[in-house]
Amino acid sequence: MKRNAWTEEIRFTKEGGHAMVRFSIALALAGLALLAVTGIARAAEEGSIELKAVAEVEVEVLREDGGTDVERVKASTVVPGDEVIYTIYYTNVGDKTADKVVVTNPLPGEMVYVDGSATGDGAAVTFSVDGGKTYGIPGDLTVLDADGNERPATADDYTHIRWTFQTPVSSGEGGYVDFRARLA
Amino acid sequence: MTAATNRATRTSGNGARILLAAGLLVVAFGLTAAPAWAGGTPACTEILNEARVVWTTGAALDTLASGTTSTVVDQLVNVSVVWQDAAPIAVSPGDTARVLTFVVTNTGNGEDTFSLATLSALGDDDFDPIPTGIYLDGDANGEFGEEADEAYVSGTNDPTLAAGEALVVFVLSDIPPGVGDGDEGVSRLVVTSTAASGTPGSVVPGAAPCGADVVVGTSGGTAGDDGSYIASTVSVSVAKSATVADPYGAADPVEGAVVTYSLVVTSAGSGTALGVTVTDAIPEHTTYVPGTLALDGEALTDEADADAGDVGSTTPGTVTVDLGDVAGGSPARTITFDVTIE
Repeated sequence: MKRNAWTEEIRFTKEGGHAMVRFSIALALAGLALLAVTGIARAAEEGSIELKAVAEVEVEVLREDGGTDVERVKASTVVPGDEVIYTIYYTNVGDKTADKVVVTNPLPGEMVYVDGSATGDGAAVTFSVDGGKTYGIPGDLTVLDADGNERPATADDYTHIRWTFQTPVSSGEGGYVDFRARLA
Repeated sequence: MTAATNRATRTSGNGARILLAAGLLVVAFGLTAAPAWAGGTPACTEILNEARVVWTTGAALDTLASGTTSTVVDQLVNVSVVWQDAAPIAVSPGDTARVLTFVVTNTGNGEDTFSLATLSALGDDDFDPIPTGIYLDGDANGEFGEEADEAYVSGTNDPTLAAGEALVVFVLSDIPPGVGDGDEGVSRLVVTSTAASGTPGSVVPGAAPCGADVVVGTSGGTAGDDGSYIASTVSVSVAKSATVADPYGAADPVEGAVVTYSLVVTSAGSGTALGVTVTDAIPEHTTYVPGTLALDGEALTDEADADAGDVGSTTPGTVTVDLGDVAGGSPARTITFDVTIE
């Protein structure tokens, strides 16, 4: 499955009194408008997962006793070299258990993944170095260097991060996955 | 200069990368190669992040995107200055308008305007060059030219540089008359951002063109580098001696005795004396012995011609030897000639 390559075949059917929107994934394009619309429509549906992304930075704040605490604040602005913590919260707001849950986060173009920073309880973390076509674990990934020779990929090469949940997410259950990236 | 308020300390662009920025501007001058790091992501860039989830509750796969997070890149202020001359500029006491060449680079991530100043009253040197002006390399040829380049006036033509842009700046100084051989004089070019300077991490809220903050980087928004002059002087001295051979096999200065004069020219210092000419009048009551003029044992003709010396042609009654340029500490030159006592 590739991102942004969706054909939507939306069928509204009556099923247990709930509207159901079904995507059959095949080819073609999908606009953001469609995604927005479907996103809103989904909130009350069964088996729905809601995602919320948060970007934060750590700041040191002075305590009254002269020490410092590290606090997280919303990353509204950053400077080159700053590390941003991206947290993606998920909740199964539907009635049914969601299976084969996979969360994917393309790295913003200006950001470089901080090696070893991705976490996610109960999820296997893999990375893509080819724009999300294929995924692998860090030791297995390779890229071509300037001379066309294959070399082991480093965190600088990652384009996408993926969390593949090993167990189903039951109704009402939620959690988060996160990673850090540095602004180039 | 805008006063920057210090709020919670922010980690701003790390030192290692700033060093690379210094390497970059060296590349511009073709001296060494270094990885490119041009101040980082441009100020006011919007960083968007969105995740997506895919799952199934049965036969079909569902997908949903997270909301998009938006983070704006602040303007990070950094600057570097690097003196370009390969070695101290050799000067002579009393020289005027001697040039030191610097490169100023905006190593921040946004356009910035910089003020320039020179400092020459510094410790650890032997004399203070007298600053006479700063020039911007108006014709961008890297070489100082008083006509082509622009005299800098603080607050009037403070240079504005795009992120990563570099500018050649010339610092002109007069050299005090009293400096001695080998004395070194240092002149420092100090460049300060007009957007913000002060403690690294200081913030001027909302001061970037897009309304983002201006943040002082690791350079503190100011940078300076020292260039130096080295004085080279030279002194030339002549020692004259005479040996007498009388017609009777003794060394008495009697009529008919031959006097061989020897002029030994020595030099000292690190400079070079240009166009050194030694002249010596034939003493009264003596007569030059034709064909006896020699330099370092090599005979010179008496006429003014291609060789270095003559007798009486350049100045009547005088030995003239042109030694050309004499570098300080070069081997002694010896001029000899004979006269007879009348």
